[in-house]
Formats: sequence, structure tokens, C-alpha cells
Amino acid sequence: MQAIPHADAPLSMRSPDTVMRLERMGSAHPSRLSFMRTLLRRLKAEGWTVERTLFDIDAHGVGRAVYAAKGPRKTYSLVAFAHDLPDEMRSDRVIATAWDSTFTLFDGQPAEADIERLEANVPLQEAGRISDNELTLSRANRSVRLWRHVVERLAGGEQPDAEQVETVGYLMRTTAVYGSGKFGAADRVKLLDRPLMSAPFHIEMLTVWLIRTFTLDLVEHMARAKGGAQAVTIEPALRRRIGVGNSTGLGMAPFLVTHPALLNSWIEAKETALARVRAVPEAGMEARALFADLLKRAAANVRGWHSEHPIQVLKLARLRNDLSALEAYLEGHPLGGKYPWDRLYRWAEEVLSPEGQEQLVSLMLEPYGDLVDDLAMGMKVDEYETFRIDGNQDIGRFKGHMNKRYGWALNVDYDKDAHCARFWYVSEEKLEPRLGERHAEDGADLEQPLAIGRDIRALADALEAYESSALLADFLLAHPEHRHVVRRVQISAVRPYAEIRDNLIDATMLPIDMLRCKLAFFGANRFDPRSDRWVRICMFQNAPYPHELAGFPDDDWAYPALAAAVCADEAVA
Amino acid sequence: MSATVYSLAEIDAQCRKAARGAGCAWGIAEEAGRAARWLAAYGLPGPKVLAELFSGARSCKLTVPEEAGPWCADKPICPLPFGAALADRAVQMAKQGGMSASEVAWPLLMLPQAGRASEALGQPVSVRWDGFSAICMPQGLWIGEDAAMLSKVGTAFHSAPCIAAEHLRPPGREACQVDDWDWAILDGFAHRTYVPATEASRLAGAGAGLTDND
Repeated sequence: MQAIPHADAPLSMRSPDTVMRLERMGSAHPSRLSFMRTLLRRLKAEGWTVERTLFDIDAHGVGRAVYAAKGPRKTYSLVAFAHDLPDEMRSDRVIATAWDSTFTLFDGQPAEADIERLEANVPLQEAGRISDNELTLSRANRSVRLWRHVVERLAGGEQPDAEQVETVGYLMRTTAVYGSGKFGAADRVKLLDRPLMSAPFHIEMLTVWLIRTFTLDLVEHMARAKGGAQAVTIEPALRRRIGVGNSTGLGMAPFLVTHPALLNSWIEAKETALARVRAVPEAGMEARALFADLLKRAAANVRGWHSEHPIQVLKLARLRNDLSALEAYLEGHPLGGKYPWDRLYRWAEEVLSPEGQEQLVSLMLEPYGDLVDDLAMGMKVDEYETFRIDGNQDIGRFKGHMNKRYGWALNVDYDKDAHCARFWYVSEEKLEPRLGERHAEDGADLEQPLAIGRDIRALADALEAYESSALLADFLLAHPEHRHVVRRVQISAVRPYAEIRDNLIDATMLPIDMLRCKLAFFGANRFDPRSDRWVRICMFQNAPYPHELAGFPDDDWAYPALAAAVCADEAVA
Repeated sequence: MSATVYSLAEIDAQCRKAARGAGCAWGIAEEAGRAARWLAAYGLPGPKVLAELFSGARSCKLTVPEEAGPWCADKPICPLPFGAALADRAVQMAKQGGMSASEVAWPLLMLPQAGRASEALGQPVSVRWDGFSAICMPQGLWIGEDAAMLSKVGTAFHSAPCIAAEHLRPPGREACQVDDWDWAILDGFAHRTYVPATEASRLAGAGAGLTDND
């Protein structure tokens, strides 16, 4: 039983001015509210099973496979197509036209005719069409370096080198997982009644989890094809170290801006969870022990987290120092006394870098599932309901909301080159979001509405001419050009965490900060920026495979088991 | 005519982009996407009427009429800003017993916004023009007379709060067929919002950075 906070507890939420800055969002860590975690908790609680109903793949790795995930009410099937892709065609860029494997998640169990229809379309990805019997569309490329190594080792009857597995972390990386109605797939509303839709992105995360199983089956199949009777499979503990890689680029960045109510619901859930834990009056011995154990495991995770990007190199060095400082602090202050988590967090605010603080936040939630896991249910939003503008609001009241939420935007001089240096646009070639340099490139006249701060400033200027008692509807009729930000102000008025509080067209803005925030909510780790605008990550690393889920310790995979623990497991097995 | 099945999300996105390409403000373009989606969910040709609307003459700059008279302009009123005005001014509209216009271009596009007005008022909103009548709710629609449903210009347009209708049907959730011709017209408008790639932007715009084939 967890301690329940007292009514007089210091239940304080962190300010949006702290939480919604890009630097902070770009230091986000996955937590127990992340969608991969909540998905596997649900699948385990409901006793889901996964059955491989088709695996028709030749010795060259070409063919098709189906994995049926069966829950209490519904079955969802990953339909996978494996290809033999020449090395020179392999690219993770969205401009690629061929991949090692392509996938769709089918609603139910596909008949042969469905598979044939999908085989004519899924391998084409964006150039094909799927139907609303399908829920996602995805593709993945092999990690050339690790794939060859693993096949060769297994074919020769040996285990892969643990260090190489650890360094790369995945055998395949997805380069896109499209959902919610893209390319003909089922629209979100079609699935509204499905329990699996009670949290955002569970359909997409289920797809990735099944892709991981397919990937491991495929690599072992290729090893058998090469080594015959001599070939072995990967030992379970090492197998679990392998996640699914992912390359995420600018295409994902605007999502957090174009879904303000949803962003608010995610951040608010996490901040509420933190506030609840900080309000716990006393830490039980069990919670303290679990926290101490996870802190060691988190440190091990950070030791295996590599990046060559100068920004991330620096952040990782600080994070390592932070975790050492945290361990040292806990030796002197072992979480006794009143409100120990609140005191710990206050100390961290003074001493640790944002990376360290955010890692700590995630760790603090871990012992308190009973207290915070219900918040996962509040992380989705009906965006139809947040869309309507209340035109009957008077300008005075509207301005009050605007000034309260957008102080960060109103005090910037957007005429300065550095503060309007960039523009977001959609490229004609791939219909994907891109970032341009306003003062050096053409196309700024076709700018996407993502310069929120600047547009709010322009809105504030236009409102100057209106009396406080005037109605917003009258302003909007005369000034439709401000309508998109008027909507945002009204959404933000009751949602403090709806808006990124930074200038998204500033010369110093880093798109990877936006990507990281979203990916952390997915549950990704090992963030490895490859430039200022795309990032490599790992998903489901250390997670149980479908056949292990029922017997795996509850929700205990976010941080790697310590080496000693791995050995102990194997000895028992 | 050939047609392709599109999800409601695709219809929304395509129509939003097309509206922007046709010159709408971003906030109005967002409403256009939602409106096409709303109509498509009821099996009505949202994308088609938008494609037609953008291809014809219409007045987009509107002013509130004196003394609650009908809204007028030198060309048929564009249903996108007028629809937004109907939703924005729902409370005044109810106080004045309704909102009228002499001529509205492709007035079917007013239905989704009557649904929004209904959301604001908490009661159904009727829409009629010569040869057409309907009752709208956020999650319900009843169509009475439909002879002039696809009118290029709706004359004697009137919208007002009304008593709940019994036979409102809920929106569908399925993907919809859209004529390829209409989709191509929308594509043409959407295309105006895209920036052509250059070799430099191909590299810098997406951030090529380090190798991605390892």
C-alpha cells in the first residue's frame, strides 16, 4: 500500500514557464506514463497473446509474415513483408522509396485476399493505398552492422557479442509509423470505442512491439538458413536488450504545435504525477529500496547511451555527473523525514542540469504506480470539442487570457533577424515539413502557421484598436488572418501546458528538442541526435517479448536489469 | 467518373491545404478542412463542394448588416467566412431570431458551422435556402427538403435555433469515396502551399547530418 498524500500536502505543479521551454522539453525522459509502458501494462493485465500465424520467408529473407495479437475483445494482426534490399538503396530519410521490411497493422485477422491486396500496396508505403481495415503503415531498415554480426554468430552456433548489441541497441529501425487515417488507413474516430484507443498512440506502439518480434524471428531465421543445424537462437536476456531503432525527423516536430490540447493533456498528466509524489508525506522502505535500485539501473542505462552530437555529448556528461551527485546526496539524505520527495526535487532544482532533473522526475514516479497510473487515462483529447471558437467572449476577457499565457511571446522583437530567422514550410517534393532560413531562402511567403509567438504578437497589436467590451466575433470578422491564434489562446486559457513557450522561428531553436519531448512520451530512450533536426532513438529496449509478457515482473523493463541481475536470472533459468 | 476512398483525416488535411492554397486565412482554412470532413462523415460531398467553391466567384470580405437585416455582398457570399461568422455569432444570431443572407455560394458548407452554432447554443440549429432544409447538431443531422442541396448559389438563406428534431442521424466513421476529378482540383490548390525543393534545401531543410545507413 502506498502512502496517500495529506490534504495539507505541498501539492504544487511546476510552472509552464519552466516545463514548456524547449530546453526542458528537449531533456525529457520516458516515464511510467509513457505510451509503451501503459500499452504493455494493459496487454499484460488483459492477458493478450500473440500468435505467429504465417511465416513464409525464404533463405534470402524475402517473403511475408503475420502476427496476430489477441485480446479479450479484438485481434490485431501485424502483416509484414520482408524484402531483399541492396545496401545502396537503404536510407532512413523520408525520401527513400524502398525498405528492408514494410508493415501494416490489420484490424482483425487477414484472409489470403487481404494479404494479397496489402502485398500490392504496403511495400510501396506512401505511394500505395491501404483501407480502413488497416490501422497503421510502417517500414523498417536493418542496422547493417549489427544484422550481419548477429546472423554470422548465430549461424556459427555462437551468441552475438553483448557489447556490440549494447552499442547499437536494435536490429531494425523504423523510419515511419503512420497512423490515424494516413494513406487510407482507419480514421481515429472509427476506433474511438476500442479500449486500446483509451491512450494515444497505443495502436502505433503495438505495431512497433510486434515489429520487434518479427525482427528477431527474421534474424534467427536467416541464421538458420545460413548455418543449418549448427545455428542457435539468441539467449533470452540478450534478446531483450534488442529494441527497435527509429529515425525521426522534422515531420514529427509540428505535431506538438498543431495539437495544443493534446500536448496539454500529456504534460499535465506527468506534472500532476510529479506533484502527487512530491506530496507523499513519508517514503516507505519499499519505495526507497525500489528507487535506489532503479537509480542504479538508470545510471547503467546512461552508461550505454551514446551520441556523437556535441549538444548531446555535453548533456550526457552532465547527466552522468548528476546521477553521481544524486547517489551521493541520497547517502547523506536517505529519504527520511516529512515530504522527502519534495525535498529531493527541490534540491535537484538547485543542483542538477535539466537532463538530471527530468531523469529524477521519471525515477520518482516509479515506486508510486498506485498513485499515478490512473493519470494515463486522461492523456487523450477529443479535438472536435476543443476546436470551436467562443465568439461571444469580449475582447477584454480574451486579452486577459492572452496576457496570462503568452507573456513569453509578447516580449520578443520579431523584427530582429535572429528572432525571425527561420520559417516552417511543406516541401513540394515529399509533402513533409521542413525548416528554411528566412533571410537566405525563397518560400517564406508559403510559411506554415507554426510561428506562434510572432503571430500572437501580431494578434495583440491588432487588438489594440478594439474596446474591451467589443466582441471577439466582430474582431474575427474583420481580421480572419488572426483566427488560428485566437483559437489557440482560447484553448490555452484553460490548459496551461498547451503551448511550447519558446520562439519556434528563432535562429537558435533546435527542432530535436520538440522531437525528444514527443518521443519520450512514446517511451523511447537512447536519444541520439544526428543533427539539429533528426534523432535516432530506441524503442522497447529491455521489454519482454509477447511470449514472455505474462511471466515477466510487472512493468519492470524501462531500465536495464543490472549485469548481476542478468546473471542471476540466467542461473535460475 | 473514377473515385478513390479517403479517410476522414485525409479529407480534412487535403481540404485545409486546398483552402489555404485558394487564399483563405489559416484559421478559416482549418474550418474548411473540418467542414469537409463533417459533411463527408454524413455521406455528403464535402470535398466536391469545396472544389467547386474555389473554382467560382465569391465574396470573402464580409461586414455585419445594419439592423439585423440579411447579409449581402456584390457576389455570392463565401460560406467559409460566413459559416465561421454563424458559429462565432451564435448567441447574437439566436437573440435576433436567426441569420439571413440573400445569396450564399455552395451553401451546403454552412451545415457544419450550423452544427458548431448548435454546440454554442446547446440546441439544434436549422438551415434552409430555396429548395433545401436541414437541422444540425454537433453529432447529428436531419435533412428535410434536398432538391437544392448542391446549389451553386443558395438564395434566401436563413439559419436559426430550433426545437430538437427526432430523426437526427449520427455521423459515420468510415472512409469515403471522393471523385478523382474533385480531388485533383483540391490537389491543385493544395499544391500552391508547397515550397519547391532545391538541392540546398534537400540537405539543410530536413537536416541530413550523419550517415543514416549503418
